[in-house]
Amino acid sequence: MKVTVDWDACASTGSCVQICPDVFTLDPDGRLQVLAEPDESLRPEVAEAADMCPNAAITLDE
Amino acid sequence: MLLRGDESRIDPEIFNHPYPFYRALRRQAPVYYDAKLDTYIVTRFDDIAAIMKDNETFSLAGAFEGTYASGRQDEFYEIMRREGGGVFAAPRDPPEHTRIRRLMLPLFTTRRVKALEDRTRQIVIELIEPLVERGYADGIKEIGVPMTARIMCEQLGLDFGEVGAERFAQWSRVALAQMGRRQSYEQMLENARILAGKQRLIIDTIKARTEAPCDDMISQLVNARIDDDERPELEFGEIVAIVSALMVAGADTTAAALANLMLSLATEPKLVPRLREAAEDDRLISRFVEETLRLHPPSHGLWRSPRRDVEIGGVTIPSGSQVCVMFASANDDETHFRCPRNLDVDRGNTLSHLTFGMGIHRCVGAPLARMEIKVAAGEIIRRLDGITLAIPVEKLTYVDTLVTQTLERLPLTFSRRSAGTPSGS
Repeated sequence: MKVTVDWDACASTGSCVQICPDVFTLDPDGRLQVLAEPDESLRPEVAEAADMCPNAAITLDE
Repeated sequence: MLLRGDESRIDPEIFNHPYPFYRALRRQAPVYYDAKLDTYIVTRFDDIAAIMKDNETFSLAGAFEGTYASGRQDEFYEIMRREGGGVFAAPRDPPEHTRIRRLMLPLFTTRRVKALEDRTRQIVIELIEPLVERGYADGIKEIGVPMTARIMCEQLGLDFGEVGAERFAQWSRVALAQMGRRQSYEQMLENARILAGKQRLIIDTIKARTEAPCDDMISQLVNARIDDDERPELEFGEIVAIVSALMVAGADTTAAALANLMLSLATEPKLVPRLREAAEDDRLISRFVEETLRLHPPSHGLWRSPRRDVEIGGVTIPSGSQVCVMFASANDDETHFRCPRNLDVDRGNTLSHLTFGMGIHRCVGAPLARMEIKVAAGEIIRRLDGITLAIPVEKLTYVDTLVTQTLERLPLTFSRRSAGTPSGS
């Protein structure tokens, strides 16, 4: 599973951090950090984070 | 509506029915100087989004410094020091705000919120069952406010039996009165004393949880840690300020949102059978909740202050002035949402509404608020039939504050939905 973030759209809201903290975190400067290829078992949470991103910045590939 | 240029958001006829005003502003003056409020009101979706993303130019702290406590901060803080145990604040602008945000995000994760769902449902059922029997209720005073007060008290770890729904609601009211200059000097003094009492309770509870932590939110704030070498935890004063803010932001807004949702059920009866048929389809209820949040945001707008002269929509906003980003108008912007005043659960982009704000200050409690509203909506749809507004819709009025758009009263009648009632009737 591959996670991509559209950095122009991302507004560092942290919505994804609340839904899937294993893949998304905020660094000390408040920028989003992403685990690019997380384990397949996290797919439902990552998919929810992508669905719920208020800026539609997250996409999930096979 | 054709603007003369001297209209204000606080003119009585606009205050209770602001949407025609917002639409006129978007078309005729998208960045409008409201002289009575001494505030620039920004109404277009794209302009608001640009402001929310530019945290270097637009300060949150600066927006409250000048107007808090009706401009009498010295006297307000003196009362808080003398009677309330001190004056406490949490940083509102980056980079300090980022540290607070990182420490707070884990409090409201989806996983944590899911674990609270059963208890929330129990509170909702206990509260609405006697009302279903009675056949009428005030949707804000008897459902929204007591429900969210109880949930917030329990979550934070305050004794709801001791505090009570009325005192909790009063604390919200007087805290909101400190913003937007809508109280007299005498009211400010009285409100400061009430807030001092609230703060003493917060301080006592934080001290107790520091000694003996349990699994409530105040204990979590006390024990929250991040990978920061110098300041990995929240300071005592920051926790006081955060808990105090959560008691307002976590209850009053959700109560208003739930009341607005019940109003939608009363005014759009055709929707109810469809929501019931889809009782198993969690996503339809979610979309309904989200669409009512877009249509009727509990907070119509919030404030920012530019650190330099800045041009937005062709208007130069001077450094240090007050700017109101009107989220309710962004949600109503026809260039972003088609037929924006229609409640449309099939709308493709509902989720892009700005009811929770946007960017680094976006509502940290959004997952909890959504869960509470959704659970309550599900139980109301399941148990109540024929929800009807008992007064003409034009007679609805809102609480006199600029920070939230909370119905003063919402008189509803309804009957118990019998188990055998066909869902399509």
